[in-house]
Amino acid sequence: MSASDLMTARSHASANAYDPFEDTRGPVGHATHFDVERIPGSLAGEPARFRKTIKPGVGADLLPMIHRENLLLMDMATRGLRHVAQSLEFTRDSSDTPFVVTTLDAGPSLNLWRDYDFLAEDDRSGAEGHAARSFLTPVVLARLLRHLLLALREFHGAGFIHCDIHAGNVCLPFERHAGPVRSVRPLFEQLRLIDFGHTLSARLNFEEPMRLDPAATESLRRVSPAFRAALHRDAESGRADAVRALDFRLDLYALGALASQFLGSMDGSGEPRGAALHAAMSASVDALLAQDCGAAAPEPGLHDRLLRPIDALLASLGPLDDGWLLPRKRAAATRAEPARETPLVGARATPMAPPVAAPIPAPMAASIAPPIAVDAAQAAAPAAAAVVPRPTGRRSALIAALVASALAVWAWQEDHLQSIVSILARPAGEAPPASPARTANPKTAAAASRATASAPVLSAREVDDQLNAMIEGAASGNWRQVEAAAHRISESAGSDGSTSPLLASGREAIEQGDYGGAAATLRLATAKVPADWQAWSALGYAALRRNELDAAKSALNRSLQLHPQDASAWAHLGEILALQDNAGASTATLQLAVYFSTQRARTLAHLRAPAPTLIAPEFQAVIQDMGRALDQVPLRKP
Amino acid sequence: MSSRLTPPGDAVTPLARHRVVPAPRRSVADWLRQQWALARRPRIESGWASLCGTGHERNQDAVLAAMPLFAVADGVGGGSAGELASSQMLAWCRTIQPADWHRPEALAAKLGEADAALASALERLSPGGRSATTFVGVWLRRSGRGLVAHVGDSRVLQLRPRSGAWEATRLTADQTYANLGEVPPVGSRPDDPARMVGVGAIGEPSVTRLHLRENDWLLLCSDGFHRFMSEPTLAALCKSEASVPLHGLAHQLAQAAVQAGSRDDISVLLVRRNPSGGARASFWLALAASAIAALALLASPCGWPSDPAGDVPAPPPVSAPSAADGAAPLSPR
Repeated sequence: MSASDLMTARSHASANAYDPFEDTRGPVGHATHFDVERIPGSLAGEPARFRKTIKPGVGADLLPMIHRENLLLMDMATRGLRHVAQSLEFTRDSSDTPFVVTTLDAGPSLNLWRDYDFLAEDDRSGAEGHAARSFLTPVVLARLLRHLLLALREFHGAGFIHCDIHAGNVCLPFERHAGPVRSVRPLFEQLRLIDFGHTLSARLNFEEPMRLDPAATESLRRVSPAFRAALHRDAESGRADAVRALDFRLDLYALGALASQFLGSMDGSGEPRGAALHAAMSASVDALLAQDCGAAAPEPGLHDRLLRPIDALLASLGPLDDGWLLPRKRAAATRAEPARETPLVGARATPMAPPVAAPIPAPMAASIAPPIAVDAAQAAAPAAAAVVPRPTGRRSALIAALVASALAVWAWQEDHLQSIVSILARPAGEAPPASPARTANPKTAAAASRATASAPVLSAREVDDQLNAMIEGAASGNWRQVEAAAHRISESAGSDGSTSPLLASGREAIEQGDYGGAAATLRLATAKVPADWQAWSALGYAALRRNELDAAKSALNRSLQLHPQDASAWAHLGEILALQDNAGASTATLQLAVYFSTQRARTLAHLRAPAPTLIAPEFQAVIQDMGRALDQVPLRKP
Repeated sequence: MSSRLTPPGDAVTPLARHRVVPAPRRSVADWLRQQWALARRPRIESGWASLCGTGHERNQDAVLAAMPLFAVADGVGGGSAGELASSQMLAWCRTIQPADWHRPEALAAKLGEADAALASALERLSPGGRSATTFVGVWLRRSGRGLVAHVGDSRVLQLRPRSGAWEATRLTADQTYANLGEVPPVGSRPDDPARMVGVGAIGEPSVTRLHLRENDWLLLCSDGFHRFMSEPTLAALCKSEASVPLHGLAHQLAQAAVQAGSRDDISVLLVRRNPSGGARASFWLALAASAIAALALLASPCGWPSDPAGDVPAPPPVSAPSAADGAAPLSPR
């Protein structure tokens, strides 16, 4: 490490610009409200030092939260906790803003790990037959869950409750291979918890209510019902009495939500016992999600009880392979899931940077975009303007030349000239045809092409008929019919799995409560990648929250045509149907939502969340009428 | 000029002057930056490393380095229970009031309560875990005076630089069955710890006084380290690597124990008392001289030539550099 390197303060504008496995000088963090930068001037051999500061433009109302976190970090630093990122100093900058200096020796967050695929080092030479796997294999998930439970046991034993466990707040360090190969090995036993802005302590009392937004979508995912109710009570009273009465089980629930999220994207390929492992992990996740703060005190040794089945599962797997892994960053379009921040009360009015997105050349956008009904207010939205800049002059010519070159190469290589001509010749407003399955994996591509060749191609009307058949099947309890119809749709017009780079921006806007901005961004996302069912689904949700029921229904219908197993689309469709006084169909779609949910316990908890909730009262009535019958919906085989 | 500059690394330790490796040529800016970094060092400095042994999946040692307490606990127990005992022991140390930090009798009495407190906490968190921990801790004042407390076979060594070699003095006596003259139970060895916290075997915690002079070092370690590193070897390693910052040196020492064959968890905590002046004196002296020279220049009446006709505008006033100019020095901690 040269002196000039040390003098260079490093910061990264976005998580996308940062590669923790390339950076040999330790990780740098990111958050919505904070910047983490390297402090220059360290001597060689000393641990790197970082400074965490509030981003410019973030309101000063967050300062009490920073003070609170500093106090907690000081308390934690004197307790020898293994799983807390070590903090060095607590001080203020020249503008009297407090900041934390930390070694941040924690490693990349789990969100960052999930942005990579990994190739076992043994497979490096033989590319044939060895595909890179996602980080979350069944064994990795089991190990993560075990070590997280042990970390929480220690953390809770020292009198702290984290209150904000999610993938962005858990860091997993790694060991770097000493040789020239860039391979790494995750150090599960050293994982670290970070971000104590909402942490409760048995010794430090705070009067101010917690800033966690209980009504945000993200809270509905990972905040337990009792915790959410306490947050609401505190918001009304202006004090922190209700949350201070809670216990550590709210962290266990959040851990269950995290594990449930991971379970949904677990990569079981090449795992002979995939189904059995999935079932075992599902049971552990359900046990975690069943934890919540109640009237009774938590039972002694609760962590150990939850650990036992995971330990047994790991023991049954035999010796674990701790080999070196070669990381490969995924393309932005195939990221597992966008990083989620903690939603804060009052943070919605915070001036945020416009969503960053790949610019779309105007002529190309016009040629591929179906007609979008954009009202005047949305058309004038600055965010939308930022997403699609209008290149002019020399820049346009350059972009046009680049696009033309790319198309020419594509046409030459893939003999797609006819497709290009048809796209360019298509009149504006005509929807593009469903694209054939595209995948980088030749084996998958071959399988997909075989499947497409053998499956009958359904017309749009026939796909809708199959969706109706799914609803009828759910209403009559004929789940075989549901599966058959879903299979036919998937075979005929299923999504190729491609996602738009704008999807993350749209989801972020939804989490901020900016449904108008989200709808505009997601319309562009669906225009750019019409086969992105997730974007259609999110667009439907945004339109639903804007009370644009017809637009919402249309978008959700498109999502289901592409991916009939989309549980959230079924749930939101159910809400629309309930709002349109079609309780019968709403009940059936609600059952479909539960049936296809990969995180049933969490879905049910979300649907049955007590008021205030974003769910329309009409749909709440439908849910209430269903009662425990929802629990009887059969489990779908993974 | 560069031959007169302080060699790279840790100039606070006098032994760094005896380095045989020739110092590379460094610029004045490098020297200033290094001096600034050294000037910012605290009076009591520490660095530690803790490695998981090959015999465990998780490290059962716990380390705490937060003034005034520097401590190492070595957990013992089946499964994952040992790690809980060691971390709970360190967390419990926070309950000791400042009034007891410097009175040996009071500290010993307080540590005597740790056994029941730890057993109760472990029963709540992990019932039936059957875990305990050895413990060594130093409550240190900035003056270098303090108390050393220990239970079991974790150790504290005091390293003192001498002219030719370093002198390593053991401040604790291992409370093993052999040393205490007790018969080990079936399945135990004579050199296993006979005293531990958490299972009713704490005995009389040993508390002794300590005086750490300037440039003295303390080394706290678990048995996974000291069983494989003799004191002369350790002193030689510390002497030869004194220029490495403590954090890095602690890692080197831990790795040396691994190479020597240790399969147990290894924890090494180094503490050093830096001199109040030491290598920093030259920096402060240079800074003061520069400030005096600048003031003298500003106060001198012949700073700018004046025009008798008065038709040449006066030069702009010299303003202090602001942070926005990027010329301001680094702000102190």
